[in-house]
Amino acid sequence: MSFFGFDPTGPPNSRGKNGGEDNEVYDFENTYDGLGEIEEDDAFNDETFNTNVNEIKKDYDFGQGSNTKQQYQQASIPAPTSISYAQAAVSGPVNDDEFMQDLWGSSNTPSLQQEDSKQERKILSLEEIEAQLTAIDQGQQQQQQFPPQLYGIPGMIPPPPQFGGYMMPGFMPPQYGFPAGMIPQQIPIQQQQQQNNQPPQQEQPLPQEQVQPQPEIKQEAEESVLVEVNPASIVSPKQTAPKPVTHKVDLSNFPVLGSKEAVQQQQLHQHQLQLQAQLNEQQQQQQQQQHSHHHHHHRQPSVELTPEQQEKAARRQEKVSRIMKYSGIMNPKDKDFVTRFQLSQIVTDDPYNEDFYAQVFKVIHPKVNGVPPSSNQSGSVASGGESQQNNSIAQAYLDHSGHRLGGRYKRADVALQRMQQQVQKAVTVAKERPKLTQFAKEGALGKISFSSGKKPRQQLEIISKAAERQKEQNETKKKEGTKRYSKKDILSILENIISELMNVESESRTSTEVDTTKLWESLKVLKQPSSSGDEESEVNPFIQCLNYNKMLKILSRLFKFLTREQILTITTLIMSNLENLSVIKYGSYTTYSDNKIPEKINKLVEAYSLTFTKILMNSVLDFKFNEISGLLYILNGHNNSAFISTTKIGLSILTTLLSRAELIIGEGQISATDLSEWSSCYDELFTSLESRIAAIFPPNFDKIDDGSSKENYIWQFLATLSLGGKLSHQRIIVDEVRDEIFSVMNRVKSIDNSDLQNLYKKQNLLNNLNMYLVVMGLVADENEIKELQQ
Amino acid sequence: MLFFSFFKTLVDQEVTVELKNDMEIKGTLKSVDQFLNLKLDNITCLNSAQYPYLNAVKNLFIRGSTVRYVHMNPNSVDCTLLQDASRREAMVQAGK
Repeated sequence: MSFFGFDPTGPPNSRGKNGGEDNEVYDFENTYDGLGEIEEDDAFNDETFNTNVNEIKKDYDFGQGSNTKQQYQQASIPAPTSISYAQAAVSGPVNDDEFMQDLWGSSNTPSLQQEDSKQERKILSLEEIEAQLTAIDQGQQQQQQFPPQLYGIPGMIPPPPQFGGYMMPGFMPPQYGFPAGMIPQQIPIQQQQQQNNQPPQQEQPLPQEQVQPQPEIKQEAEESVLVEVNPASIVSPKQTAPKPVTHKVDLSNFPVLGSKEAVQQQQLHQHQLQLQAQLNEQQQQQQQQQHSHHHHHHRQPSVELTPEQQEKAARRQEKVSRIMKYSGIMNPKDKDFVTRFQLSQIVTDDPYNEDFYAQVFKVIHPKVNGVPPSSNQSGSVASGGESQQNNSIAQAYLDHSGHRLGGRYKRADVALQRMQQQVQKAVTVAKERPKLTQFAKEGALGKISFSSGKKPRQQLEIISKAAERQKEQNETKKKEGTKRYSKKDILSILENIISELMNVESESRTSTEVDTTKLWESLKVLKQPSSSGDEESEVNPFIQCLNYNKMLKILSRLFKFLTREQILTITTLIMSNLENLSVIKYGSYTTYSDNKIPEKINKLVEAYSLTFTKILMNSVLDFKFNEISGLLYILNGHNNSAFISTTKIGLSILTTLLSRAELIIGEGQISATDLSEWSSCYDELFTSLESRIAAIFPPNFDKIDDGSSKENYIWQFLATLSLGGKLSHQRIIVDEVRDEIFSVMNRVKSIDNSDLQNLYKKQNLLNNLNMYLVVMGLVADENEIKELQQ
Repeated sequence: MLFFSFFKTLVDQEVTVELKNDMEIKGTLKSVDQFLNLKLDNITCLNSAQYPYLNAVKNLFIRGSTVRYVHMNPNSVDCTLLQDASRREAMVQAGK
């Protein structure tokens, strides 16, 4: 029980009481007598006793229980068993003055207030107090449990520091001067404070001298019910407020009985009357809050709420107060500032450059994002007004930042508007802002480098310019002879092409007239003439680039910006360099001892047929007849056509040229000279192919082509070749590929008609074969090859 | 800005964020800012055995600097475009 901190050096009677064996009943007079003498020269007596010390007599009611509060303590605490707080309180402090001072603190309240309070001061006996207590109905008591701080007390000063040690859990420094109704956002903060304050105070070990009041004060919520008995607070309402119902007792007054409180009480009551109307609304809520806070301490269970409801309300309230903890910390201006600041980091006047991926992605995949394409299209048409663009940024900002404002019906528009304005502002500010990345401050030893969200501080500054220049110098030196390109050179040329292409592309978004000269130069098509068979590193860089998947991917984008003449030049270059292309060079089974093309080349071939072949096919459509025959001539002259025909890509190139020529011939508007030129060209090609036509079938063709795919490039080629040739040509071809034709027929026959799963293969095989046979007026069915019935 | 731009396109898609403390959180990406701070919704912790307290959490704000990896559906990435975007970024950087 040293908790109560009696002084071991104190009078023996007060010491012996916790001995346990000491069952002596203490008489108050024994312990108290002689100690209650008031030091008349104590400077603080006025504040302590709130009256002239001369008026304080020994009969000032301490006789019945040392003070009124102790009385409630006795009333509120169930029958004390061994040593009650009350008993401890009775025998506690040795020095009454000290106790009083500890209890009341030394107030600095002006004496004027003291005089006022004198008139109100009235001492109540225990009986009176109890009568008051019972007179109060329960509902009112609950009302009294409102957090005291909710009733702002105008002009009340924070409690002097010494109060802190034993501040009542419920006692809060009131939030001065504001009627609670006018500062709603402060309530949660107060609430929070209260929450924060409570637990430590409950557990706080009490200083030794504060013996008597502590136990009572610790009673927290119980007292909130009992506060009523505070003499000042009971007496004064009868004078100032006729209706006791409207009378709220402020917990903060509880430990402070002094004059100051009396005055404040009075003010409080008046104020409360004024505030009553405002508060009525809030009371409900506050009551709930109060419940939540003191839920566990309630002596009297709440009348209106079931425990579950209380629990629920408590949880809700706790959540609300947690959420609201920091609400209202920033005013709208602050928020504006922060938003603008964030926007200025993100916003750009050139979204296509700095936000390239997101902007283009949204255009390409409008549905993936769930964003209606129309809203993004405005941004994609860069020629649109700037405001429109800003709009899209603001919209995107709202979309993507998960801004609450976006979801709130009417307010969303306003917010969007404001956001737009801010974006506009931010853009202009960003434009005006000097684009400094380094800043040498006067007197500083180093340079301060700036970083921003857009351009994070670079950890390493790599000097690329110098290296580039050096490289250029090297290049110029070598220029005399034929330049050898390393893989690195080719890749950098390729990257350069892509950069130029992207420049052109972004230019084309803003204007219809695009300058493509730089792009054309970057292709280096005319840089270094070469033809098939040249050393790999000395081949024209553009041709070398075509060996990379990257280049193939951009081909279609690239060709969009090239003129017909440029495309023709490129095609001519390709035709003369066919054997320098990896797909041709390494794409023939004949070069491998096991007749198998490596996987890597096969992949490249695949990429070619998806990109290059299609582009070539499209380009050839624009070519004139003599240009096509010229291309074929070059192809045949610079390359070994027989070899090329053994590669898939080579064969499809030949097919493309031949079929286009046949189509133009079919139109019948070709001059005789052109036709004779063409037939000589065809003869030349046929001569080089003659006796090697069977070689266009890869070995094990019967195993590869089981009909599962519709791939028919070989039969396509044979068909085209036959189409262009005379009867003599066709005969030669048939003679050479007869074995293959019968091999296909055998495969067709081997597939039983009942084998439904493989029936499609049969059909594919026949279709492919017939493509060729039809040219010669033949047709194959599953049994035989017969003449086509007209 | 490239990654900011990139992550913007992943908004409202499911991603798995692996933090530098090995925590793996799967959730819908709600928002990203220029620091690559992430806001996730409807999260589940993939290794919640180690972090049971995350079971009660529905949404998160992740400071960008604590992220090790963000795993995403490959279909949600346009690789060609990303290559172009990184080239563009490099061009901008080189131009400065």
